[in-house]
Amino acid sequence: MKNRHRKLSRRTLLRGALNGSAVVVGLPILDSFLNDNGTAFAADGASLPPCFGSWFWGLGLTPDLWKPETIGHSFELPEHIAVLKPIKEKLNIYSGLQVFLDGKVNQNHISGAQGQMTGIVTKTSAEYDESFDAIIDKHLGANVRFRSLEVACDGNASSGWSARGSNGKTPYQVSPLDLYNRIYGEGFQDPNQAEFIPDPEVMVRRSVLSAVSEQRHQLLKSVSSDDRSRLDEYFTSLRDVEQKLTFELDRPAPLPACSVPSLESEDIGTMVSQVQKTHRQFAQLLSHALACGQTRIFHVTLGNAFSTLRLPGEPSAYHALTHEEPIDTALGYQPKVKQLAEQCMGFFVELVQAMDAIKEGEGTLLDRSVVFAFTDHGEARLHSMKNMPVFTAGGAGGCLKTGIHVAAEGDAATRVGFTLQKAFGVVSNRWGTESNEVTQPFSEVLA
Amino acid sequence: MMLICLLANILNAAENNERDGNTGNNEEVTFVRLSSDQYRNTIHDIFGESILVRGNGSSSGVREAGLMAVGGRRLTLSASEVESYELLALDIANQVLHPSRRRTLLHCAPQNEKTLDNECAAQFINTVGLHLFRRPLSKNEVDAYVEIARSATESLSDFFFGLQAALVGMMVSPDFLFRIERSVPNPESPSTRQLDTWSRASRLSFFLWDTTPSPALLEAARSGELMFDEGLNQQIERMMTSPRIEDGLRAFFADMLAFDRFDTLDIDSNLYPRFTKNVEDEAREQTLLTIADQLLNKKADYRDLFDSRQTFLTPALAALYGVPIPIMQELGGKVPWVPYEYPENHARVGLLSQVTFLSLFSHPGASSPTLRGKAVREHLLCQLIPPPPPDVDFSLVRDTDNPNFKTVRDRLTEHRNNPTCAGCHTLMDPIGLALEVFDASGVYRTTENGADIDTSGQWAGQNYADANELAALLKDDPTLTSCLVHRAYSYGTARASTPTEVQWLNTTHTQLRNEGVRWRELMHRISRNPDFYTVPESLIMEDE
Amino acid sequence: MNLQNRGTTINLRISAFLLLSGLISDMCSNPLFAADNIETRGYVISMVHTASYADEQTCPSGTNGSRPDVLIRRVMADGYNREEAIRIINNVRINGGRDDAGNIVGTAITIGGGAAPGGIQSWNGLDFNPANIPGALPDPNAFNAEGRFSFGLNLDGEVGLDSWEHPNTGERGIDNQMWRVLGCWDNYHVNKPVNPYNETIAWDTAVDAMPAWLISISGEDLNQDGEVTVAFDRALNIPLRDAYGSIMSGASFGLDTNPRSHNVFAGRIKGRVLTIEPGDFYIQGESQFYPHLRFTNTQLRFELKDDGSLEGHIGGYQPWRDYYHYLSVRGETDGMIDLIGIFYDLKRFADAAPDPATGENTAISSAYFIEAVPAFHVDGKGSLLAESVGAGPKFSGPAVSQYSNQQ
Repeated sequence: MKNRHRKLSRRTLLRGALNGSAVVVGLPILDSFLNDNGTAFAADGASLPPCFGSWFWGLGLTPDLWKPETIGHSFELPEHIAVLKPIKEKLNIYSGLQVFLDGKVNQNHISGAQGQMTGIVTKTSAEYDESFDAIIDKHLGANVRFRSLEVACDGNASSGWSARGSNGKTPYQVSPLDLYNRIYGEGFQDPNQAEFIPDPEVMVRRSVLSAVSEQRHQLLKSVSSDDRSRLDEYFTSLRDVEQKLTFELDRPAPLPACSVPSLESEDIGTMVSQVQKTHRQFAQLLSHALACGQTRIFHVTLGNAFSTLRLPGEPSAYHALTHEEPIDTALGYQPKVKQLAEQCMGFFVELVQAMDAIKEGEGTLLDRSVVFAFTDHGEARLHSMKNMPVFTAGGAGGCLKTGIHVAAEGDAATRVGFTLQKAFGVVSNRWGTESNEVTQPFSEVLA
Repeated sequence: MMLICLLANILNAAENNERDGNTGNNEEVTFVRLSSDQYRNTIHDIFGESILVRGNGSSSGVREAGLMAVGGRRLTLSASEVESYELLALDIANQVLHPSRRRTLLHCAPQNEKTLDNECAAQFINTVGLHLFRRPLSKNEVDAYVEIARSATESLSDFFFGLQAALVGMMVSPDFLFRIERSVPNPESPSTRQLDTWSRASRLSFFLWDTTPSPALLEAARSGELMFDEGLNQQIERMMTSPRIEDGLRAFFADMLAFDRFDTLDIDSNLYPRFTKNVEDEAREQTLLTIADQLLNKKADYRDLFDSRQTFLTPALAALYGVPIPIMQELGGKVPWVPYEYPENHARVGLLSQVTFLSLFSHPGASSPTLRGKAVREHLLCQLIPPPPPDVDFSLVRDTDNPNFKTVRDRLTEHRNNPTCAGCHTLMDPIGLALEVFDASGVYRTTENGADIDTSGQWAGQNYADANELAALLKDDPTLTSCLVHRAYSYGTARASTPTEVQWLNTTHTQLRNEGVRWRELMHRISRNPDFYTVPESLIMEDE
Repeated sequence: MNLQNRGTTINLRISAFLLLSGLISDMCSNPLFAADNIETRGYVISMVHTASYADEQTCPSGTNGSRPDVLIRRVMADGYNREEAIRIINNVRINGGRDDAGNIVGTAITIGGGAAPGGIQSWNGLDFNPANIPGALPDPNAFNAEGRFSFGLNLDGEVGLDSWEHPNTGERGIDNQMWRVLGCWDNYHVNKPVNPYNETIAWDTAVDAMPAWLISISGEDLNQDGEVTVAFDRALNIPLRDAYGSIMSGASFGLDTNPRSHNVFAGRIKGRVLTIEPGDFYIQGESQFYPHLRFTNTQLRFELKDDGSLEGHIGGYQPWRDYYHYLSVRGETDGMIDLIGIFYDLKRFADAAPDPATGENTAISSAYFIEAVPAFHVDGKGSLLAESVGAGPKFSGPAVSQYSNQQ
């Protein structure tokens, strides 16, 4: 049985046969892997890799109050989303979008998000297809430590919307401390450290996983067709862990923007203050993880739309308020609900700014990334699927124009996901099913 | 702890049995991941209670047909879960082969501790593998893991490290992390299939004890006696009389009563200061202790759980429930569980008035008759409540003169005046309204916002004044017991039941209602039903 | 045994495997339950500390400050000026407390508290711990409380020259010489909602480790005026806390049958206020809280609140060495007082129980604030001895919450 190498690179060739007892030849440190603009690996001219993230907040915004009046560049931010001002230039707003049910039962607080992330609205909530980041991921084929990182800010691991295949949504991490240990604990190689010593135990661990993977073909043959895809996805997960160990054995390229963050104690719960704190901690961790090349794909959910966000002393949680708070006859909207929606927008700004704060050459981490912000309903009170607020932040390394309000009257919201796939260079002429199938990206935002 | 014995017979049989899954005769029919509890129980049973399992690999799953056990059929393991399992496996393997322990679990010694001892490694892998995979390993499999051991031994010049690597490999293999049940043709009717001997052991063991098959059960599997009624019954009898049966009962009811909701339970302790984190853990244990005591020790009828006045309390629970309990321990003792019986006509009786039920199905800051009513329907009566219609408008509930209805009953009554809403809410709300005297944390109250709480309602055409009277009516309802019977079966098979099985379950249910719906008897009957080991046609693979 | 409580009959039965077969204990012999129509309500003490009252008249010459002030005074008495004294005291953590010339200054550390490693504690070159022989040091002449008002009770039935006026009821002849000793020390010189700090901390720790102190009241109808019996007891178990850190109402307490801490008084309720006939009082405590609390001529005045809790004062003549002992174990660091000064003042103001040999008073009139919340009392067989009546207050005991001001 041979040990398998994940991917041949220059380093691997220099290493020679890896039998576990070979000595790894370290490369001399080059002065800088970046060119003068900080946009390329000097060694082989590849750009700093683009990153994709999704950001979910439940219960939408107050309808009619968030849509900017002007379309295109230099739109004005309405008061309801004025908090987005600091990131306006790097932001796109998409209005008029909807998720089509095609006659299926509206799984409240589920179908809308499901449609935007997977392109498919299913009959029951138990079914869930792969989310479009998996498409981007396959296209990027990145050499990363973690295929993706996904976090939930409300303590509920099932609050997420990403899925690798059709065998269940990916459970999200709920503890910043756990995530910190996962990334910066054992196995983390600081890209900017002079010394690099591959751990022989990690080599052994990797070869163990590789050997187990060898069983894939035999086992796949022996399971029923129903279960084949689940077993296959298991082996994909196994391969991801093997890939993680491979990454830990490679000397990482220096990344000047990489630094290890510090973390204070965590406070996990559904109170607004707790969600805010947890979200801030995750925003820090994820930004640093991206800057340190640990992953290229991340997912954040503020929480499950059914039980997210509580104000202190208030018996009704955000979701209950959307249904029970009376519409103020003078104002024309639900005041507490509006306030909570604005808090969510504030959290989004914090994540975007955390990414923008990491300077990489002349740009920032945000500039080479895209964060896709989506929600479950256009109007939570009525479980409406129309007029979904959708945002993207970041320029995907120049592939996405920003500072634009796209007004798409009645279009499928999946157009945004499709546009982003295009921005990352995915070659495909359609995405989604039934009325959520789209063939045209928003060319006005594609560079 | 079950010692790993040198089961020479089994090993011999293994060499003659190419059961590595790719022979046409053994077809896979079930592929379900281990739960966190099953993983932990398995590790402790195989390697000993002293092994620390420092974490959970998989997160909680998905509910389908009322059970997580059935929903598990849809799930696989994500990258982060496999990552967790690999780390857990490393830690466990390290403990298992620690110098202080290894002599207990490894019954051979290498010639040279720095190089691979082929024979000793093969012995270890065969023995441990039988327990981990819940079936003998094929020669190819043993060779593959010995190769892992060899490679690792050479890397670090340490035989025991090599064994650790092999152990880790086995513990991240799908053969361990998933319960893979396989079938063989049924000799009595060759067009149908039945579970093979090892799969029977696995199914029985997880059903009755929520853990991996014991050496005795594995031996019964090897000998083939599990393929026959007599042998099967013998094992069932043995397992049912063991105290381990309580683990199986607890696992089943934790699934049926939706205890996964405890993971995200977030009762607001500012509004409900008596609901501390200790209370949450104690509430869960109170419910399970009560059920175990009633159904196993007292052999009570399942229906009695709903109006029984007997339970177990801790000091904190007693204070929350507002009842006195005897104080047994001196200062500094462990928190005691004290058997307690509510007085006659106490407002609180049965499962539905325990903190577990009341808090799991409430909002963080308010009780919810609708959630509680829905829970009774879906979790106890196996009825499905459709999701709310999309364009629900609660504006009817708003009264601009008095925006706050005093009691939730008033608000919901208003809500039910809307015909779109009435259909489902009529099914849910009255049940929950009977429980409104218990707030979201389970504390008793008689008023809400200054108004008296009215707990009356109707069930199946009969009136009830309060939760006690509702419990008496529920007890009599056949759906209560038939739900238990059907769920128990699906829990064991991890799938929906076939029409034949449904018929059998209905018949069994009728019989039990007459004789008494007792847990042991139910588990007995299910485990002895040949269909429990028969593979439904829909699951049979097409020939390749 | 049946207890009447708003018409509901309560019956307790305990399963056999824990106790003798489910028997109801022989309550008939218990003096508390002589008649069938007696109601007994149980409480657990959730807060106890020296009753404090401070206004502009209490310390007209100023207060004594706290720990730093004590140390500064002592070091200055050694001959240093104030600035250097402060430097020396700050140096204690750095170099053991040296002056500018490098000499160790022995008076720069506090007296009392736990024993140093090896069990030896010397101070300022002395080879003994002055907390044990405080008379060996001179009286620092601390300020004592004066003025018109203090909480407390009239213990001797007279309105003497040394007595106070009760600030709430206007009752005169209040005997509380202890207040003179403590009242001008900053951490005692407080009014509700602030409590004497060192006692609050000690209680907050003790309440989670010390068997609870219980009160019960028995009478025909405790909602009306009438004669009652009041008992104080020690429990077997500790109080429970809720999410606020309050002492939880409605918890169950087993009675410690050791008669030492069992106190019974005849009393009366009038206008929702409970008082008792004087008697002796003893209850065992726990170091570092009060090791015990004991009074002669005990009196009390408790309000029965709507939420079922009790609040008020208890007092009597307390052996003054009891309180000195409590403070010396706390030490000057945690007690925030001058231990030597306290000693001299306690001696000075002691006003009862003269020692037959020396004629010196060995007890001092004092008063303590008590808050107690509803609780169940049970006996060793699990039978109910006292009923918990009322939901209790939202915040009790040492609970501190951002919502505390929303009482």
